[in-house]
Amino acid sequence: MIENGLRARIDARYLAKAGAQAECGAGRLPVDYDRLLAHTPFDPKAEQATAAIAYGNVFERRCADDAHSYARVLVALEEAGLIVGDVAVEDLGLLDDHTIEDLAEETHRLLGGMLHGDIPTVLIAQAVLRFEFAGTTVYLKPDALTIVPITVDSYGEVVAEGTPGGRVELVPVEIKGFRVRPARYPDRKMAGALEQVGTYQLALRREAVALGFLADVVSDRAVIINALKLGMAPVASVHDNRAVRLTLERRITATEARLQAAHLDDPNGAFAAAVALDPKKATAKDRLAVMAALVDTYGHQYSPECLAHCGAAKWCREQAADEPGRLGNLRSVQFAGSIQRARRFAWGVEAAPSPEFEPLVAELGDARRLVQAACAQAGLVPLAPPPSGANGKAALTTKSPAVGRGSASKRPVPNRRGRAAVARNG
Amino acid sequence: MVETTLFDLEGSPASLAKLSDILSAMPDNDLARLHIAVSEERHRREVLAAAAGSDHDQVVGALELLGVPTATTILVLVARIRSGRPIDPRTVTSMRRDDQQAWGREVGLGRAHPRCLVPALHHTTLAPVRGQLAMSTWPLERRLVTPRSPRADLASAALALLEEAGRVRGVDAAASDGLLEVAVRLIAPLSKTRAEGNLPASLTAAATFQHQRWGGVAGRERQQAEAAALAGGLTEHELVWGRPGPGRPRRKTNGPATRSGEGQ
Repeated sequence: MIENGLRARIDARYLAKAGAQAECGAGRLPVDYDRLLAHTPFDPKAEQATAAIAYGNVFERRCADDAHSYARVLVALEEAGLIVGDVAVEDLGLLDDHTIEDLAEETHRLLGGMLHGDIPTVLIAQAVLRFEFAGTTVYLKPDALTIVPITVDSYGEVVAEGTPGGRVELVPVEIKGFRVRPARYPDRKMAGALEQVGTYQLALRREAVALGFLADVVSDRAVIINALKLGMAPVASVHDNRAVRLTLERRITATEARLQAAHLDDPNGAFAAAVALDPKKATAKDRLAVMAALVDTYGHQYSPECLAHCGAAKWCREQAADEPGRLGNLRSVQFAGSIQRARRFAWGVEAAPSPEFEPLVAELGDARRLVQAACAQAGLVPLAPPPSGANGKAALTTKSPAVGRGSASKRPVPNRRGRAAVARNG
Repeated sequence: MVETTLFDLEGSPASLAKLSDILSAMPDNDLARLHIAVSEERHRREVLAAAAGSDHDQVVGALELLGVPTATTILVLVARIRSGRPIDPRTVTSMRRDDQQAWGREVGLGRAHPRCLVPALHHTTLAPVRGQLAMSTWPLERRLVTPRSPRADLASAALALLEEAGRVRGVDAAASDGLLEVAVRLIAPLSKTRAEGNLPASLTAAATFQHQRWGGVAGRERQQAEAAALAGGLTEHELVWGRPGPGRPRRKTNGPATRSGEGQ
């Protein structure tokens, strides 16, 4: 029996990132890598800043106001062009003594009433949506769901806001505490929020079908409400989220299939061992052994983007110390096949193995000379040549110059994108 | 305003001399009105301090003033401004719990229902609404939270505060300003633009507009919800404290769970 020791909570964030790395088998598993690799040199330290949490809570409370009328949200929606036409709001967050199943049922009932036009509600705050995923029921909690009258053209595109009594569509609304300031558009945070809304759209489409409506009654538009500038005034932005929703749909379907396969066929018991690991008793050695077993069994793939959303990214980065992808999209290094090989080409330690490598070797040599000249001009320490002997491969495994100055197990790689961990949960 | 000038004065001899000048220059009618206002406010505060000195009474007084289901934070703010005594918002939760126990005891002994702080109730499920309080003496209709009632209640509470702020203006400018600030906080979400200079007149106009626009609709919603709730049958306990959520067992209370129409 697998207990929920280090099993990841399947929520909107998990679903939004599920299968983000198509070839990463380990990343797709519902393992809480943040906790698995805690107290190891690869601790992701993924906690969100306390101040950010407090700010987000205050902003959400301000959006709801003291009586939970959500008047500010409705004004922001109107200013963004979504005229809902009424002020009737149901805040399910106010219902005391209700379990999450009750709230999901209440959301289902309210959505039915809204779509049939039986109730005047135009906004459900703190709604709860059911989502069946890999044999389990996941409960997603969008900040708000609103219903908007629309007018569509002959191609089915929304061309204008409609009039009450006509065609309507459901639009998910997400309240995010991060600010939108002139010339400082938070693109990465916004992209993360839109992926989260994409999961709500998927769940909402299933709800609509269960209620006897077409899935298209759920809009592909997503509304994100942010704080404007340095204040707390909410401002809504409307985004076309169709591409994100379609991508998520494929990703989630693929992840679901592979996840079920992993549950059914867990060679070496690596997955079972990971989720059964007791986080209170496990030593750093145990944790790293479990991580290695997972990767051996299911495989992994690292890219710099992983740092923004995966708790195992630092571990994978260490493993991929010599992978060209670690340095980003550098064509010449990628063509060389590894960082160390590119370095050897640059210093002339290794000759071009075939004529097609000669331009690359020349290019890397030129780059090295330019950097050396720049360092000398600036009075910086000159570049060190790569270690010789066994083509430098032995040196790579013990003390990689690309990874860090000290031993990899004692000194983790400095995180150039240290704030990524915060952004992941922001 | 003469009243404002009076309260701007400090206790220095020069200020007292100035006060004397102002009072001697005032017409007899104004002087008499000022005297009556000060006497009334002093009397009100004496009565409040003597008979309703506890935090519980202050919170109840604030709730009765506002007259609509209100968030705990607002109640605590208003009570603090009126009494000048800080109240910990966390204690309001325990006040409600104590009231619930007292209600159970009294009803169990067959006595009259005590006046309690009770939760506002959701209009369809009749579940207690988190963080919104009402008075047990209010009719059910007034204690319900419906889809449009929050907007109407904000305006209604703001109007009550503005009226109270105007009433105490002449005798306690600090309390009046405090109440005005709370009124601004309540009315701010409803108006797209800030009321001009947050003047009482413009705030009153904004609150009155919102109250007239949504008060009637919310009232009808509440009446319909009350009729539906009563038609469904409610125990005496549910009528006051609400129904527990469908997924959870009801909390243990000392009160009997008799049907309101039982035995009739």
